[in-house]
Amino acid sequence: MRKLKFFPYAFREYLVLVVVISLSVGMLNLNSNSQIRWLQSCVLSIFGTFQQVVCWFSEYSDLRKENEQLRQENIRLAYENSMLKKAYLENIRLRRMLKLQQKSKYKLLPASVIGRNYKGFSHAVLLDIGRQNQVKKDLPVICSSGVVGKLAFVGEKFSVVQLIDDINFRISGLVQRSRVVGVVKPGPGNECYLDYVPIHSDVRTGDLVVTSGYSKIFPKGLEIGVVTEVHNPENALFEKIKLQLSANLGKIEEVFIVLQNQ
Amino acid sequence: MNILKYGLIFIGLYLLQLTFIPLLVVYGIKPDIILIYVVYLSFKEGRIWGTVSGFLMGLIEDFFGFGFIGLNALTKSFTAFIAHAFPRQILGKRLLQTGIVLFCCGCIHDFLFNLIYSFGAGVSVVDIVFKYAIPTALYTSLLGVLICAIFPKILDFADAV
Repeated sequence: MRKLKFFPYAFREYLVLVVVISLSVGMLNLNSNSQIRWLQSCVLSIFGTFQQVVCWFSEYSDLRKENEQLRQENIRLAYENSMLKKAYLENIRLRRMLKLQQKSKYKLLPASVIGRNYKGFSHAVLLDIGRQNQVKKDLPVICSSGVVGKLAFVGEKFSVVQLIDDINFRISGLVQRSRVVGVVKPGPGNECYLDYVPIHSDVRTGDLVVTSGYSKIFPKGLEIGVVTEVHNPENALFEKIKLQLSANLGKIEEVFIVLQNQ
Repeated sequence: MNILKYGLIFIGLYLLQLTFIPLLVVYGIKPDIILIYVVYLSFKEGRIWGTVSGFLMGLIEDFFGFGFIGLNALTKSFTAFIAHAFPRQILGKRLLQTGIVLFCCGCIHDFLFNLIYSFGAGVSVVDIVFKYAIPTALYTSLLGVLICAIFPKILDFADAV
């Protein structure tokens, strides 16, 4: 009997390990549970407030305001310029086909990046907008240069963006010149690839890759990146295409949430 | 075990991790000061307290870190458990051994974390090991050794066995 009582005590360390691992695995499986999400939302509110305070102290308020106004104007103009360039290319293509289509415009909500989380393959940023700004999960996030990511989690006042270079992020891409479709996926080491493009497809270095519009999340025509390398491996089904993302994810401070097509 | 004291130290270190450590990023790699603390607690207070502390600290990191809830809790608790496999006497004033212990623990932690996070994303194990686990573990161990060199008294417990 004494040996039976002694048994759990002798292996108490392993019992503790089993318990904590079971709890961790259980929580991993319940990530989409509403109570866990509610708890995370509360924590995000506290953390977001703290991050905002930290951000505020790091800049002078008057200069910051003026800087923000100028930056938003610059972003708006850069975005407008980029849309005009795309419209020009599209116009050429449509004229060749002897058809005219209406270019869709998007309703954009500006937001500021107030925090970043880069841990291993996990890349995310924190924004200062939430449910109170009428945003919801899975809305696309862009900047003046191109696609930034999508809203992975939305709290009351703050939101988390899963960045396009997060290892689990996927987006349907279209080579603007040749209309070849593929799937943009990040690789390890800050690289990005256009995958599932059949071998010998018409893709060249310098080609612009945009969103294809096949996804329910991302509308068509948003800039993703530029092709930097194309390899046709022997005995392979797909080309190996490397991309340089248009958005400078390490330096973004202002982004836009794409609310809807107009 | 003085829970309040260790809790306050954790809060201070976590604020450092959020505010100061991002300034030390090199080619996308940054050290994990919380992991250093978890390993330290595991050696100082024993395996059970180390494992439980790793679980709790990892869980708090998960909630504040935008990722999968439970992932840091799993990896840090497991790493704290494994850390105790090294003899306590290996620490002390011997910085090289301390660095090696931190490096091994860092490799285990970062490998597990990135393996689980990228599960199903088609990332090879070789990439996980050589592009993330080893560089991050190396950086973490260097920071740990630096801390021990600047504050040698924090390892005094290792000599008093």
